[in-house]
Amino acid sequence: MSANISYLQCPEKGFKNLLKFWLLTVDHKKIGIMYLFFILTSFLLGGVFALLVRIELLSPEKILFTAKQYNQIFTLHGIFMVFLFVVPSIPASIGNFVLPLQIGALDVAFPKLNLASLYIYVVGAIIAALSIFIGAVDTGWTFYTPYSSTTDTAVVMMVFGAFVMGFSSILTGLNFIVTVHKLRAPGMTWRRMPLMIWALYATSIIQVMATPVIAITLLLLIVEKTLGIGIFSPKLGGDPVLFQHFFWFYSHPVVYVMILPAMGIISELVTTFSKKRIFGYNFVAFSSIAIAVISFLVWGHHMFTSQSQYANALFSFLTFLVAVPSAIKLFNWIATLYKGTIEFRAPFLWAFAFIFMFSVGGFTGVMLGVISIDIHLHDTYFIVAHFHYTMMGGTVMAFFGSLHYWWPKIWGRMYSEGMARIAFFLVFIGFNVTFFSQFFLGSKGMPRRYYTYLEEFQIYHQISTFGSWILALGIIIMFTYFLNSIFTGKKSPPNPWGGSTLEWSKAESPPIEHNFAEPPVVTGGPYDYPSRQDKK
Amino acid sequence: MEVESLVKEGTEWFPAAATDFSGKVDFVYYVIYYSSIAIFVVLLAVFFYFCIRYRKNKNNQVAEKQVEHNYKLEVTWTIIPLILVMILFAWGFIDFIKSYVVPSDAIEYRVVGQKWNWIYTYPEIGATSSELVVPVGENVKLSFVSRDVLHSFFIPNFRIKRDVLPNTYTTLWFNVDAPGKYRVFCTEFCGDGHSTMLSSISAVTREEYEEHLKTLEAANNLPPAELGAQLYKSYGCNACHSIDGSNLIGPTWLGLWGKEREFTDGTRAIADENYLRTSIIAPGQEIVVGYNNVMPSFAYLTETQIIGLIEYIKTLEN
Repeated sequence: MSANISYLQCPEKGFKNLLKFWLLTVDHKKIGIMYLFFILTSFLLGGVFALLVRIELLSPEKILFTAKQYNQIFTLHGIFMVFLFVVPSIPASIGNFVLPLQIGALDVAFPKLNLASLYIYVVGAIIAALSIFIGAVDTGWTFYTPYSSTTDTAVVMMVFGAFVMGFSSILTGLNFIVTVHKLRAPGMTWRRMPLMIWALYATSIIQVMATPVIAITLLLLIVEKTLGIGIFSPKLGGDPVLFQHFFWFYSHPVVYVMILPAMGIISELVTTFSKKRIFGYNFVAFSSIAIAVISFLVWGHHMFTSQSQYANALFSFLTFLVAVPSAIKLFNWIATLYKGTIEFRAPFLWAFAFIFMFSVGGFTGVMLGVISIDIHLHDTYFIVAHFHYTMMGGTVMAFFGSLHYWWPKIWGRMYSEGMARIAFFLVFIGFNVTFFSQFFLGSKGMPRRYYTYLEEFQIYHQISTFGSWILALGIIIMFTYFLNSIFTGKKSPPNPWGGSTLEWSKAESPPIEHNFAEPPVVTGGPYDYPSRQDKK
Repeated sequence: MEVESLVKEGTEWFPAAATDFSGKVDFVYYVIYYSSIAIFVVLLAVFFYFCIRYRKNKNNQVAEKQVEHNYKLEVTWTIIPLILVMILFAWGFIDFIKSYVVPSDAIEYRVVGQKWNWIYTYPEIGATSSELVVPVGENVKLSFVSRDVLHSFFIPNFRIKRDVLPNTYTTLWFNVDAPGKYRVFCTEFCGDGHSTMLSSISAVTREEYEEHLKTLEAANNLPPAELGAQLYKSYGCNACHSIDGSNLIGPTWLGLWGKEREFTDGTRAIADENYLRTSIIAPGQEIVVGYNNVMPSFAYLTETQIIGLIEYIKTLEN
C-alpha cells in the first residue's frame, strides 16, 4: 500500500524531514507546486506595484510618489509581471504538474534538471528583487538604450537577474521537449496527445530557441555598462535601434510563450465542459506550431516608428499572418460546443473570460497591425490596454481557469463554487473597467509611462483606477478560497469534472507518488467522449 | 491661441483630425472597429446560443453527436480572415507610405529633442524656439535628432509619430488643414521629465506666419532681461525651473540670485554671474543638495543669450 499514498504525504515526521521532502524532491508535481508558490508571490508583488501605479494616476498632481519613484514602480510592475510571473507561469507551474500526467509518464525526462531550473528561477528572482534595494530600475521593462546605459539605477543587477531566469526557462523547455518525444505512454501517438501538450510543446520550442537571444542581448548590455565597449550607446559608437531589434527578437516570441499554453488550457476546458471531442483537432494542434514558427518573424511590429519603411511593410505583412491561426482556434473552440452537453462550472467561466477578452485583444491587435493606425497608437495607452487584454485577459484568465480546473487534482480538495462565481464576476467586471477605459485614453493621444498628464484625461484615469480596485478584490477573494480549500475543502473524487484525459481517467486526486498505479495504455483519442449516436 | 482639446474635440475615439492623413487613419480605423464589433457580436451570440441550446439537463446527458471535422467549414474560416487581413495590410501600408515620403517643396524645420524639451530651428531666419509655428495649408517637414537618449515626437491631431534618435536623423511631414494650436508629446520614455516634455505646433495663415518670423528676429534686439524671459520659455527652462518658488525637477529661479548654494560634494558657493554661467554650460559640475544630475548642457547658446538668462534671473527677487 505504501506505494499508493498521495504524493503530498511526507513519509517521515518532523519539520526537517518535511523540508527535505519538498526542497530536495525531484517529483514534477511538487516542483510544479513550488513553482506555483513563487510565481503567485511574484504575481502578488507585481499586482501591488500595479495598484500603486493606478493610485498615483488618480490625479495629475503628486499623490504618493515623485516622478522618479513612479518610473521605478511601473518598471518593477512590468519586470515582475513579465519575467517573474507570466513567462514561467503556466508552463513551469501547471505545465510541470500536468504534462507528465497527461501523456501517461511517471515524471519529466530529467527530474533533477527540473529541480535545478526551479532553483535557477528562484536565484534569478532573488537577484532581481534585491536590486530594488540598491536602486530600483527606472527604464521600463524594455531596458531601451541609451537610457538604460546612462541611468544611475541598478540596471546591471536587474538585467543579470533576468539573464539568470532565462536559463530556467530554457531548461524547462528542453525538459518538456524531450519528455514529449520520449515518455509518452504506449499507444499515445502524436495525434492522440491532448491539445495542452501540443501547446506546451510549441511553447517549449520558442523558449529553447528565443531565450538565448535575450540572454546574449542582456549580457551585451552588461558588457557595455561595465566595460564601456560600444554596442548600443551612440556615444561609444553603438546603435540603440540594434538593441530594440535584439530585444524584440526575443520579446515578441515570448508573447507566444505566454499565450500558447493559455490556448492549450482553453482547449482542455472547452472539451471537458461540453463533453465533446475538439472540433478540428489537426487545425488546433498545427496552428500552435504555426504560431510558434511565425512568431519569430514579427518582432519588427514593435518598431514601426524607428525602423525603415521597407521593414515596416514586411513586418506588418507577417503580423497579419500570425493573426489567422489565433482566429482559427477561436472558431474551433466555439464550434466544439455544438451539440455538446455544456456545464457552466467554475473553470468554464474562465474559459469564457478568455474567449471574450482575448477576442478584444485580437481585434485591437488587427488594428495595430495596420501600419498607418499603429503610427498613431504606438506607445500610447491603447497599446497598454491591448497587451493587458492579451497578457492578462488572455494568459492570466486561462491561468486562473487552469487553477480552478486542476486544483482538485493537485490537492484532492474542492473549493467553494459559489465563491468562485463571485470572484469571477468581480475580476471580469474589474478587468474590463480598468483596461477598456485605457483604449479611449490612448486613441485620444495619452502616451504611456507618463507620471503626470493633461487634466482632460483625468476622468478616464479615475475610471481605470476604480476598476483596478474591483479587480484586486476579486483576486483577493480567489486566493482566500483557494487557500481555505487546501485545509477545509471537501474531498474531491478522482474525476470531478468527468474529464477524459489521463490525469482524470487514470490517476487519483491527488495522484500517488509515481502518478499511476499501473502504467496507462492509450487506445483512443484524447477526448473520447460518447455520443447518443454511438449508443444507437 | 487656445490649444485644441484632445478629448472634447473630434470623434469618440480620436482627437480632431487636422490633416488629410488624419482622416484616412480614422477611416480605416472605423472600418475595422465596426467590422470587429459585428464579428464579435456574432461570435458571442453563437457561443451563448450553443451554451443555452446544448446545456446539460435531464434530456441532454450525453453529447447529441460528436462532430470532429468539417474541412469545408475550416478552410472557409481560414481563407476568409486571411483575405480580410491582407486587404488591411495593403490599405495600411499604402496610407503609411504616402505619409512617409516627404514632398520636395516642404519647408524643413530642424528639431532637437533633449531631456526634456524640443527646440525648433526656423529655416528662414535661423531663430530657435520651443514651440513651433507653421503656415497652414503648406507642406512642412520636421527633421529630428536627439542630444541624449531616445525620444519620440507625437502629434495626436495629425496621427503621426516618429522616434528621435541620437545617432540618426529621422523625419516627418504634414500639411495642416485648419488653423489651430496642436499638442506635441514625447512618447518614448526618457526619464523623470518624460511626461512634461510637452510642446505645441500652431498652424497660422501665411501673413501671420511672416509676422511671427519678424517677432522672432526682433527678439535678438531686446534688452537682455526681456530676451532672457523669452528664452526661459522658448528653451524649455520652465519645464524644470519654476519662477514662483515651487520645486520642480531643478531648483527654482525665484530668489536664486545672490543666494548661498550648498552642493552634494559638501562645498558651498554664492550664486553669482560666474556660478550661473557654469550652471548653464556645464550643469553637472556642481549639483545643489536635493537635486539629481539630470540637466543637459546649454553650451550652444550664444553669449548674448547666456547674458540674457543671467539678467533675467537677477530680476526674479523674492
